[in-house]
Amino acid sequence: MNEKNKWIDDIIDSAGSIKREVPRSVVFDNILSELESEKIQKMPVSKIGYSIVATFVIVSLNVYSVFNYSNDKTTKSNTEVELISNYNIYE
Amino acid sequence: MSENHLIELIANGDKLAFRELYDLHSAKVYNTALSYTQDVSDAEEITQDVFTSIYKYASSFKSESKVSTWIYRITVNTALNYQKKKKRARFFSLTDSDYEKPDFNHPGILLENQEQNSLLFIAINQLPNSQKTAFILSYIEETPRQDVADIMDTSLKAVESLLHRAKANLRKELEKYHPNRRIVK
Repeated sequence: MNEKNKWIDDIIDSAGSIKREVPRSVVFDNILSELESEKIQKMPVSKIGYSIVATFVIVSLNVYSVFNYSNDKTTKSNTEVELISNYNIYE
Repeated sequence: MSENHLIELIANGDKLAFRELYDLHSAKVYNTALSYTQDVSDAEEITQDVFTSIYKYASSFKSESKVSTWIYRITVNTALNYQKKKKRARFFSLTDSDYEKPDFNHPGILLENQEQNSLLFIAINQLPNSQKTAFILSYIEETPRQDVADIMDTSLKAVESLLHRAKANLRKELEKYHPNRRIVK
């Protein structure tokens, strides 16, 4: 029984005797080429800020022009109705 | 140069800083991955994935934790996900469900200890993931217990308990391989 326990303890303790290995040098080259292929580009925070402002301006201008367009349309159709009513000259 | 400063530089795309961090931590990452996968090419792939993640997410590193803790955490998660993915792929690709990995001989083990160690890795493979992680980090990587707790995002007490259960399970598993197990006294 003691012999068995010792045998098991020796195996568990052998975990501490494993020498640390170093990966092959090709691993780092692979990492670099993977990063290149993924085209990971770091965007500085200032650029992200500019992009947000630009997006906001574009969206605001779009909203503004859509509202203006629909207002113009309403005015135009009112005029059209008036004109049409003016055709009824025989009434 | 401090490791936190290296991470800052990497966040700005500095490849030299990235190389320096790789030189400092690649062995740790590789050996941890090797303990999980017990396969040299899988461990290399995990090392690649870990360092690609480090490069990509360097800007999100919070300096409240140690750089090594952060790297180990990425390594453990990547290794566990990799194993899950591989298990799934094996399930779909093999009709024979009795697939068994050949005995693993760790490249960092002396020839005379290879038999002992291959039994150890067979037993480690049977452990649940949390016990496996606690055992690998504590006994193979010889990481201090508090660091193991930080990496696993748990308490020191929980790590001690995981290690206790891991050892008990390893004993149970190793008993099956004892040379005199069939001898009735």
